[in-house]
Amino acid sequence: MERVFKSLYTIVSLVIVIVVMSVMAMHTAQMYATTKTSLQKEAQAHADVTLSTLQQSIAPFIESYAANEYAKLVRSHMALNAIDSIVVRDEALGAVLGIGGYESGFIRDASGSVQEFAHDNSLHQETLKRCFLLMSENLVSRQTGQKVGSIQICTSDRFINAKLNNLLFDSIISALLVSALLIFALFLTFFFIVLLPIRRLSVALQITDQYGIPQFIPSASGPVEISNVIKTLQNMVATIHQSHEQLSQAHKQLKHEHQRLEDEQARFNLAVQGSRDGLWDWNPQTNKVYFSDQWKRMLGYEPDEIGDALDEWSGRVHPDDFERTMGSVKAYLSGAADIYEDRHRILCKDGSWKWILDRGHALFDSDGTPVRMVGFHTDITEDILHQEELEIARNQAQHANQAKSEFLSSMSHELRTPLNAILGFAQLLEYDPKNPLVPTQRNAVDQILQGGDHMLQVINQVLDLAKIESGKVELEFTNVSVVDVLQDCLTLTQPIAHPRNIRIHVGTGFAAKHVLHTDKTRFKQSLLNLMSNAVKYNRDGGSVEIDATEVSGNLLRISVKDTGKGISEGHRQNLFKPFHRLDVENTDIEGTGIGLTITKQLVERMDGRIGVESEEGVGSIFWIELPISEFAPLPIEDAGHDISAKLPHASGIVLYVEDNPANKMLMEQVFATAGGARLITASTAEKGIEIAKEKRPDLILMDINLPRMSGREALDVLQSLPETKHIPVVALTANAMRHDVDDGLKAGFKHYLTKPIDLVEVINVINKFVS
Amino acid sequence: MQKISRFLIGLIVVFAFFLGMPLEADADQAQPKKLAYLVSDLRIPFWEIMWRGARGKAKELGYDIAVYSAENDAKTEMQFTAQVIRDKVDGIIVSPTNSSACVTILKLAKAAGIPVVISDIGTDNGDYVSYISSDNRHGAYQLGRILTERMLELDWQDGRVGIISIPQKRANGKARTAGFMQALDEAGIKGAGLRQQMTFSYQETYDFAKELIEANADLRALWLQGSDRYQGALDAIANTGKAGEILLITFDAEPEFLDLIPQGILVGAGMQQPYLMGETAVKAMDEHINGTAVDKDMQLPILAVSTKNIELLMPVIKRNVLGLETGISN
Repeated sequence: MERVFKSLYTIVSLVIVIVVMSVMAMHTAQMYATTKTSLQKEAQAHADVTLSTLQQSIAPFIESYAANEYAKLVRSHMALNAIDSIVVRDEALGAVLGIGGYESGFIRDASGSVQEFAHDNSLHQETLKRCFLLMSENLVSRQTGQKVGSIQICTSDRFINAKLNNLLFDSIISALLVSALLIFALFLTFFFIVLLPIRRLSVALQITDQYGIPQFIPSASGPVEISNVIKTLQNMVATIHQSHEQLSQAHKQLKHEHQRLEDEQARFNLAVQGSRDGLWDWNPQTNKVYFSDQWKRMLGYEPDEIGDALDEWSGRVHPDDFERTMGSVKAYLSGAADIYEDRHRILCKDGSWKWILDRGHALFDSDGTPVRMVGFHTDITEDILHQEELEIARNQAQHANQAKSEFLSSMSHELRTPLNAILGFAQLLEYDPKNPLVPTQRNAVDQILQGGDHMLQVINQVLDLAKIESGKVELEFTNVSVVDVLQDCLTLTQPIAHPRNIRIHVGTGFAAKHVLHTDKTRFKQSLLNLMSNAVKYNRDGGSVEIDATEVSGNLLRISVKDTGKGISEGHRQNLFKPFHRLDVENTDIEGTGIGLTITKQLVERMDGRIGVESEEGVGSIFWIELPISEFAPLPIEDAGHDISAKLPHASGIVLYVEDNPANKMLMEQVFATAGGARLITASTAEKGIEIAKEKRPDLILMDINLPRMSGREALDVLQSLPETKHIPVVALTANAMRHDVDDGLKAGFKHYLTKPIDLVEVINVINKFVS
Repeated sequence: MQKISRFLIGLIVVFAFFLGMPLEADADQAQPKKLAYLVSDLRIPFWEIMWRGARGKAKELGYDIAVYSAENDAKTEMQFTAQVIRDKVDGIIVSPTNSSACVTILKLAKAAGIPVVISDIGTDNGDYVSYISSDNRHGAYQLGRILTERMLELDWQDGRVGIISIPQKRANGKARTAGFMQALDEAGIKGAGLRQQMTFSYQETYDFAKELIEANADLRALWLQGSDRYQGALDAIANTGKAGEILLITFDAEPEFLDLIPQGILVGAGMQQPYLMGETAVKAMDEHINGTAVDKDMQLPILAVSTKNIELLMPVIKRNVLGLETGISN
């Protein structure tokens, strides 16, 4: 029963029936009331009309004693069912009969039948008393104007009630029929438009799979609202299916993940066990800590010897480490540090100290309060010891390296300083227009210059090798034009190729577009090394072919092919090893044997490759491959080597601070030869400062390695004095290491000239600052 | 002894008491019953003859009967009705002024418990003992037969017959016309129109007759439903030059018809028997009073008198129609 009443069909049906019946009942009641009022008014009107008609018609009959005639008239009016009785009081006949007034008329009995009125009939009198409307009028003779009688009409509501009952009956029947039709129509309409689609939907929704998901949703039809519901359900079911599928997938993944986690857990446990690390799990709110057995054993304790209080750990931290360690913890928990990692010492059971690497990770709640922190203790005591040993070794290495660097720097300086005098005076001899050299003198000077250049090259190569091995070579990558560097190398190689009639050919593979992203100096050094080797180890009258090819990997291969004796397979293996020269016993070719070694290391530092192909008796092909740049090379500043450039004829003063007499003499000679500006020299930095303050020179050339105050220190003093800080200071020193140059320029030297000097370069620099 | 004497005396008294009752009955029986005859107008011979018939029969049967003539006045008729009711007559015989007025009379008589017999005219409704009337339809039919036979004898079958009637609202009027027309239809003779009398005057009769004659060139007969202004019809026939060409036949009779019919001036006449009707009415009342069942409706034949049968019917005419030779005078 309860289910029945919960059915939409039942509810809808009941609602429709109740509503329709209620409406029809109200309508019927309203119509009943309206009709009753109308009938009453109608009865009133009829009675009025009847009375009026009879009033006019009966009097003549009374006057003519035609009682039957007015009786027939009255009887005819009784046909109106609304009139219950009409009684005429005939005074004329009454007078004749001696009874005052003769009453006659008709009255309707209980069954509605009309019968003659009898005054002495009690039922008739009762009927008159129950009149709904009792109207009476006098009958007056038209001729005499005298009253001849009276007429009384009684209207009861019996007719009205009868009519209303009939009407009510008809109305009820009509209402029932209309209600039935309405109910049927409404129900049908509601059935087909609403109930049927809902029923179909309900049936469809009951067809589910093993997971209770509906398998079928009927097509959207019917009113827009139901259609939208069906479409929504369709989407929902589709979404459910999809979600179910995803859930299944997720379940599988979860299962897989769970298995993986179990494996991970097992692996973790094994790893933890295997790693011998100690696990700790701290609850900051309760300050209880879980210490794994390994944690405890690490310190020499049995598991039951250490509890779960925090001070089991904090109380064992080395006093020297305690504050820092607690700070690390606080910093991490407060968010000041991203990670917690701390190294501290912990007291072991036997009184010894262990170095522990303590790492952990915390979980925070929404307020940022730490709720849990888990970490590992790793015994790094041995690592610390090793570290200390390494530190010692590193320090020793650093000391050794430092000593080596100092040796190299010192050696470079000590070699460059005298070489400066040798090459400088040789250049003066060569460039002195006042005292031109005879051919033999010139040859001798050339030999001096060649020997000096060679020695300088050897010094540079040895320094380069040392720097490379110590990792101190610093490369400056720029976009370098291959053609420009090739041209420079050709310029330097031609002088050594020409005397032996060796032809140098440049292949068609070179293009202006070839730009390498590399260190220009070292690239030039490398290419020059290959080209000079190709000339040096060539036969007289041979040839050198240089070409370029783009290869895979966005690299440019530059190959240098010679027509020398070729290199055997066994020698090729040692080509790039230092100090290993081919057939050094049977050749007079000069060399240090470290050129290819340096070239190989430089090329590899420049992200390139080097290789060789050779055939004995035919020749060799040395090639290097370097990365091609997509950008254009930087413009090259023309240094300008106008050997005939002279100092301007201005009244300028140049102060040269140099403690080496030879170098000082050389510079005096240069100024004397060039003419123009005046040169003042000083042997110490202190003297130089005094002269600078007094003479206010236009330029100061400063050696760096000076007794007592160094040139760097003198620079600082000059820059601090108001009378000298405006004077440009140029370094002129044998400290030619890259870092020396960089340090010098950073310190404030306007330019950095290295020994041995190039006279032209020196003159150009002087001209630049003095002019 | 004394007890016995008292008993005997009481017995004698009781015996005498009971003996007195028959004496009262005898005394009552010694008084004749009273009847009243309410008539519309005794001045009309028809009603006067009827009265003589009723009177004669009443006397024969031992009733006292009084006549109350309303002289065709409704009020007088009501007054007489009231009077006879007050007089507590034993029966009323009424020939009302009209059938409607008869209803009131019947009603009042019924209220008073007085039986009523209606003699002629009739009533629209009401309770009565018996209604004595003439068989107007059959009588008129016979009359029509007489006329049509005469017209056929004269080879006037193509001629028409005009009717000067009494008000057709009356039942007797309708009956007469219906019977007469039936006879015409059966004979194949057509009617020539009907004029209803209102005043029953000579002039009216004359004018109606003249109209019918002038309107119908083939008029061969006139039927006068009423009899007392027959002269007007005859004059109209004569004055229109149709004497001998148009027959006249009447309903009801005048004494002079006994001469006119044999002479052929009148083809015939339908004669009611008022005297017999009066007698019959009283007789019916008597039977009712004595507890004998009475026919509710008694139709007395109308004598269709023609030239051919007048002689034969003369005695009946004289007595029942004219009330002559009855020994009962006014």
